[in-house]
Amino acid sequence: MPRYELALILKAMQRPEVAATLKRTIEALMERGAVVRNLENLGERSLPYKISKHDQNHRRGGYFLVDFDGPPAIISTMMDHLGRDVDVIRPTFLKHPVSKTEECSGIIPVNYEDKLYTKKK
Amino acid sequence: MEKLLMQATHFSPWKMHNFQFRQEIVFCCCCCLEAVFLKRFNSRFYFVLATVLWRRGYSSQQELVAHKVDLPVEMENPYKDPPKRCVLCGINVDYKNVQLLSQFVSPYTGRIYGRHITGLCGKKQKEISKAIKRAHVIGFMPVMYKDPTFLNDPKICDIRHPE
Repeated sequence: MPRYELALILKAMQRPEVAATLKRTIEALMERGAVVRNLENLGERSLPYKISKHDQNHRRGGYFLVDFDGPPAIISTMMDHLGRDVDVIRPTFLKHPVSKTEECSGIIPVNYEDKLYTKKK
Repeated sequence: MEKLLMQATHFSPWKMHNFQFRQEIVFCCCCCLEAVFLKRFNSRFYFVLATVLWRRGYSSQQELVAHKVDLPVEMENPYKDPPKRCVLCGINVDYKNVQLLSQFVSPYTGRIYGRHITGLCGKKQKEISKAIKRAHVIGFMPVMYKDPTFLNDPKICDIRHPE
C-alpha cells in the first residue's frame, strides 16, 4: 500500500474542538482501510492568504500532517468527506515524500559546442 | 645512429624503417647474430651494417629502454578540481520548510527567481520551483509576497549581481 501524507488545515478553534475534528478525520481514514502512522501538529498560524470556505473567511488556521498507508481508492472518497466537513479549510493528499539524500555529484559542466553541432540526423 | 647508417649505406631515408626492424632483432642477441649476419650476407654493406650495429648494440638497447621509461604515464589529471556544487547540493527540498523556499522568491512580488539569479543546478532549481508551487496551492506559503518573518534571512540570490 502506498504511503500518503494528508496536509490538513483546520479552522482556528479551541483545543477540544480541534481534538474532536482530528478524531473524526482519522476514524474516517481507518474505516476505509488506512493505517495511520503519525500525526504531527505544525502549530496554529495565520494563513498566507485569505481562504473562504463554507461561507466563512478564514485568516488563521491550525496546520496538521497525517502520515498514513492506504489503498489508492480512498483518496477520492476522503476528499468528498473532508469537503463536507465544516471545520476543515483545506485538505490535500500527497504522496509521502521519500527523503532521499542522493549523492549530488555537483554541477557537471556541459559542453554547449558539442550539443550544437552533433544534432545532425 | 641513423646518420651513421646513412653514411655507411648511402640508402634513401624512407627505407630506414626496415633497418630499425633489423636493429631490434640484433638487440635481442647481439653477439651471436653478428656472426649470422656476416655469414649470410657477404656483401660489403651488410658487413659494415652488422659491425656498426654490434658495436652500438648495448648502448642503443639502454637508450631504447630508458626512452620507454621516460614516456609520460597515462592517468587522470590528479590536480583536477572537484566539480562545482550549487548551494542546495545534498539538501533535501520539501514543500513544508517555507523558510528555505522563501529564500528563492522575490520579497516584493513573490515571484520565483530564475536559474541565472539563484545559481542552482538544473535538478535543484526544478525541485525548488515545484515545491514552491505546491506550497502555494496547499496554503503554506504566500503567493504575491514574501512572508515578512523571512525578510531578514541570509541572501542567496542577489538580483543586482546575478550568478
